[in-house]
Amino acid sequence: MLATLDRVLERALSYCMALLLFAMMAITAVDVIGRYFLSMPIYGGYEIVQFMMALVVFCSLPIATRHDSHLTVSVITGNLKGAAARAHRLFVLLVSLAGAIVIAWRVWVQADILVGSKQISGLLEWPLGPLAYVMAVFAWLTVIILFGLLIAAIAGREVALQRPSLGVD
Amino acid sequence: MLIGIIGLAILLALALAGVPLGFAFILIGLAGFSIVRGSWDAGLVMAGQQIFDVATNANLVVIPLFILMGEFIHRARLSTELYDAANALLGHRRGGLAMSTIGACAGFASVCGSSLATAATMSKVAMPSMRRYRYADSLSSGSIAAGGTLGILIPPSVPMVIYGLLAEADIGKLFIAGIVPGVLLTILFIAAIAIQVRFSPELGPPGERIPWAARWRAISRIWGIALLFVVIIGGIYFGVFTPTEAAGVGAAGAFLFAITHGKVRMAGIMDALLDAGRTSGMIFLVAYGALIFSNFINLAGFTQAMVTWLEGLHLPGMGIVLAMCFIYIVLGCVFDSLAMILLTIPIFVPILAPFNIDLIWFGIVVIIVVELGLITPPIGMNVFVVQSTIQNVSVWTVFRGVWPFIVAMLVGLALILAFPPIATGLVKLM
Repeated sequence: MLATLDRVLERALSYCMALLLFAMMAITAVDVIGRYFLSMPIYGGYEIVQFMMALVVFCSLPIATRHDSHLTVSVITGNLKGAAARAHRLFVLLVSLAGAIVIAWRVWVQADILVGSKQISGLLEWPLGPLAYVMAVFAWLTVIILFGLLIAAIAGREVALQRPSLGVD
Repeated sequence: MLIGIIGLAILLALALAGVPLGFAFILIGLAGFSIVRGSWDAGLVMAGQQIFDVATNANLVVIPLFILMGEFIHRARLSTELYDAANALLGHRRGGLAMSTIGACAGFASVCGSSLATAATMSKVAMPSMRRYRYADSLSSGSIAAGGTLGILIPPSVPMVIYGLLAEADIGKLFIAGIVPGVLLTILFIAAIAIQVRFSPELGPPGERIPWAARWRAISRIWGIALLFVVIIGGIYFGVFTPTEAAGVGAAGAFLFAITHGKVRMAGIMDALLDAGRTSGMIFLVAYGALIFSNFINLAGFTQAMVTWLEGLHLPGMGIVLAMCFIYIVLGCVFDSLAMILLTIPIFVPILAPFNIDLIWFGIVVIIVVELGLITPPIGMNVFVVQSTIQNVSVWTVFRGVWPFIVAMLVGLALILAFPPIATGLVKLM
């Protein structure tokens, strides 16, 4: 059950991120071409891309967490074995969990602040609050994943870290 | 001041303990800021604000787009054509295949913003033919590892964007400033090979001489890369594009190139998007953290204390830059390039402010010393990438092959320190 959920979630997030990133590229390019050659830029294209970026980087947070691919300095701890490796893994997961909770909690509060002060974007005048809520949801997903990894580590279960591909490699 | 030092020490300890750098930065920055301000509320609000601001910062849109461009280029198999072109020109010389490797790395770097990607790609392309011509493993692997470092000096360059964000320096100008130093290092690397094979010809026997007609054919095949580079960097130089627009156009161009010329299918496109998205997310996580941490370090008066101390020493600005270079070389033994830039720039740049140091020039100096870290033991990331991509070569063989390039790099660094216009000349003409 959990494994299926894990896989479905992974796929959904991956497609979501890939699509957003592709759209960022397409909108930026079309905007430039439209402006120079057709004198018809995409209205607010710049802002749309900016929002998409926020979603891409937050969407990648749970994916990267699931695959242990955060930027890490592994000089000293790379070769630990047995009980030391397990204790180390628990420690790293705990600190990461604390960090992820800070992100999720504070971005959520930031969303409340943005809604409360009715902040809107400069050109399109879109409200910023909902964007921040979606970002916070991705961050909370990261927290849940770290929690799951922590439980698995305590139980001494190995969690398969397949490459985050869509199985079409 | 003291709390700043304690914070820095805990941060280093956590980083070395293998905690993801982004989380370590965020937690220490938040705690430190709150303690100095005497209010957790202040720290928490600052953290949330900072994260949201970075994630929606319009200037950072270049990061995912340039990374995506590199991913497409990487999958379009342009690297083989680059190598063939360089080989057609240089291959018949003694050590020529290694020189071609450097040339191809420089070409690849001009459309890719990452050192590791450049080294990984070139390992696959250049190593087999150098093996065929019985090149010494040390020379061939060393030239790939060293050539890879050009990836972040020749624009576009992801570390330069990060530097620009933290130092509040113009990203377009940084890119332009990287061009001449990049060419200079390419020449110095080729010279390093020429000198080596002069003394020990057995390291790199000459390849076949290719007739001029075939040479032109090989060179004409790299029009795609040439076009992309000219459009992107030329566009930035002449003010046609902002760096963001250049990145969008570059990524779209690379995408079209990958599907038409490189025959990359849906699966490959998807992989490129996923890898680029994941790498971007990873970079952003450390970026939020680095900014939160730097808010703490500045609030703690660490920077101010350092400036006062340095001013007391009556050192010239150049002396301080040299001291910083030395710190980078030491840090480079343990940290990778991105980690080093994120850790140091928020501290170094405010220290340099009173000394009237050109931050564009300093950015190029930083990129070069960070590159040195990529190929020096014990943690030369490029060396590990090369060693793991090609088979049956020990890390020490690669390190042995890399030292002449380290000398070349130090010569390049000295030249840029002594003659800043090498970096800033083109920028002034913009």
